[in-house]
Amino acid sequence: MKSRKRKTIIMLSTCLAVSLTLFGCSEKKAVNENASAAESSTDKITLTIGHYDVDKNGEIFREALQEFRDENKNINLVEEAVPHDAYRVKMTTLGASGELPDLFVANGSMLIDYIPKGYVGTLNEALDADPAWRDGFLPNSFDEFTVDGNIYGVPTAMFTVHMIYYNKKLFQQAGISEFPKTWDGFTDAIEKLKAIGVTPIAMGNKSNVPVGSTIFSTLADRFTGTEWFHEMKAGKAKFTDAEFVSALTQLQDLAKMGAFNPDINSIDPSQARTLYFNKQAAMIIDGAWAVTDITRDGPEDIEKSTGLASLPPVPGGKGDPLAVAGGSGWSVAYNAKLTGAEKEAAIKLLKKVSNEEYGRKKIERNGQPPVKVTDYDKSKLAPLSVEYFQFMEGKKFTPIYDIQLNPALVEVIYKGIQDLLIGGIQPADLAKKIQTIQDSQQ
Amino acid sequence: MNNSRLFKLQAGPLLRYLVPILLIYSFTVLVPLVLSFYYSLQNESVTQFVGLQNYMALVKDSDFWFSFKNNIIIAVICVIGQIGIAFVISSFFMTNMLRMASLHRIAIFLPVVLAPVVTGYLWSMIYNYRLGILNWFLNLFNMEPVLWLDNPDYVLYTVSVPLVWQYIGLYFIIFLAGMQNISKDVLEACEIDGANWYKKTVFVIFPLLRNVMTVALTLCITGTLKVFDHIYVMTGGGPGRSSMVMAQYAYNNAFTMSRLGYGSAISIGMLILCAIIVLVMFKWIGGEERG
Repeated sequence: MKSRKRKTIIMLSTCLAVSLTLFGCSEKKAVNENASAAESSTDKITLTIGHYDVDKNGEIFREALQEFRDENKNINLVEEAVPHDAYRVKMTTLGASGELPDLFVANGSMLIDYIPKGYVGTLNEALDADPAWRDGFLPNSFDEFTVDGNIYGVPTAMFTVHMIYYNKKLFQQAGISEFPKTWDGFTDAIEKLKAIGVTPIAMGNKSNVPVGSTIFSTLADRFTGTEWFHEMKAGKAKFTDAEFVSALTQLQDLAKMGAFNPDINSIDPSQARTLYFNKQAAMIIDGAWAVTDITRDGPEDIEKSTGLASLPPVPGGKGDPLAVAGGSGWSVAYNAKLTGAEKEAAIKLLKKVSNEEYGRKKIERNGQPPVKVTDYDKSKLAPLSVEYFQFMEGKKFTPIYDIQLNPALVEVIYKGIQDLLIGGIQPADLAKKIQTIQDSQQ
Repeated sequence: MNNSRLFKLQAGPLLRYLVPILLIYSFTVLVPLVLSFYYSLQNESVTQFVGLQNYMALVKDSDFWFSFKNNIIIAVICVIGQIGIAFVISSFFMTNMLRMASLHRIAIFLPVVLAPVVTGYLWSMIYNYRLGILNWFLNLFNMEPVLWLDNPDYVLYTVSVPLVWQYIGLYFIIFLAGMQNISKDVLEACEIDGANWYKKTVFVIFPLLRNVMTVALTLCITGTLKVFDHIYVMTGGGPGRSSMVMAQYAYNNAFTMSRLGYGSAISIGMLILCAIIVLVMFKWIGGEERG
């Protein structure tokens, strides 16, 4: 009797310990699931959605989800939201164990990881069934989420990741009347800016993504042309090709001439932005999202004196001299295991976050939607946003390295760029190293 | 003897009492270990069994050996820094000249209770190029500011300093406890024999602390071989790979490069290397004792 009681106690306590551990791992999820279990009737559909729109910029997305909930009382939508960086790590882990949420936000690189494993559902049927929805998207906005003609994700935005924000007043002070149109003019401007004691370009590359994404993707395309990129992905062109090496060399030359802040590899982009706000730096190079940040967080005089530009053409480059790296980047995708009513509900939600109505809201809050928006209230836009849309008029998008290449390759290139910026490695050696990884991937 | 049954361990109850803790232990240590060994035999996306291919790649991976070398350098710095400085400080505590001993003790121990991430952030502020206190100090003497965390030539040493700073207190407390256990008679005897502080420390206290020293060395070396948080926060292994350590390399492979199989192989490799180093160390210390 006594020993049985003791056994029970031991059992109970181990159960408690184990469940506590598990509970700690996924506290939020467990709570949500409990809540949903309590209120769900028999025919209620539960969908989970993983996303990272937890901050101010993600307000629109969260509102849309809430609206969806109000409109569809029979669907119980459970959000599993964590901040961006943590989200990437979480999704890599979930992807490895095959336990992705029903719907999730994913970029092209993540999809490359998931699609061969059969985790992601295709959207071709649903898009073809609703031509109005399909034709509402901007051209090429599905490129990053298409594999062998199958579409796996609905884009959430379409923008450039390369934009030079420059302070016109500092440029005038240094005796530069307008943003240089040639590479020589650009290097000249850098020297002049150095002469008046400001940092020409402020960047925060601690996480090693910013320089690679916002400068190098565009700079490399200026040299190699987009054709090379596709050939390289198909295994026909190599990173050791002269064009790619000269792009690396050009970037190192910029660093050597002191174009960047010396602590480029130990600060993050928000610290770099502070340098720009304090007029200690004349330029920052960042994605289109900085338009929102500058109008919201920047001092008023900075906002007014900010101009937009892109890298000037490079001598002997094969790429389109005006194109900028960009695209849709992120998409919402659904889990391949969804069927029947659940799948229908998921498609319904996808439409909710990608229709023109959503696009209009996004544009009116200085966002860059992936859909055509015919009429919107221009007066709601910040001047910089208006300038952005003017600037982007007719510009072509070139591939973003960290979106289109697989994660292992991205890490090698971007870590290498960090090394390159401090002169720790020679361009030719780095190109060889990148090619070795590329070979091992096939 | 009659009372011996008081101390006799019975297998049945012993096992039963151990069940809960063993269960927790296996869930938190054994299962993950076996799992990561299992993952390490799979391909990058953990879909296919590839045998020892990951380990073959690991042996040839120059980045892995580079980070191992970095780990060894950090371990040497930490052994000298943490254990050396802690020993010197605790031997000061054995003299009669020290005032307000408990205040000093608390102050020295305080960094140990900080979370490594906090230490990392704290020191990245200290090292900051523009706002950091170190460069402010250099500025007072009209010296050029130094890029503490950006220069591959010395970034490894700058990231080691916070490690030393944080854990001196731990070894200090261990040594102090050890020293206070040394019989007063021995110490008094050598004082009467005319030994000064230096002689007392080197020839009496140090040899008597051999066992404590072994514990401290083991803790210090195993601790620094698996160091991660500080470096992750301060540089993330950068610039490039200059401050890369094994744990950071495993993390990068598994979580940013999405190569879970290879990442697991790195951590198993790490385990093996750490085990070898600790075994060699034990052998060396044990052998000296016999000789």
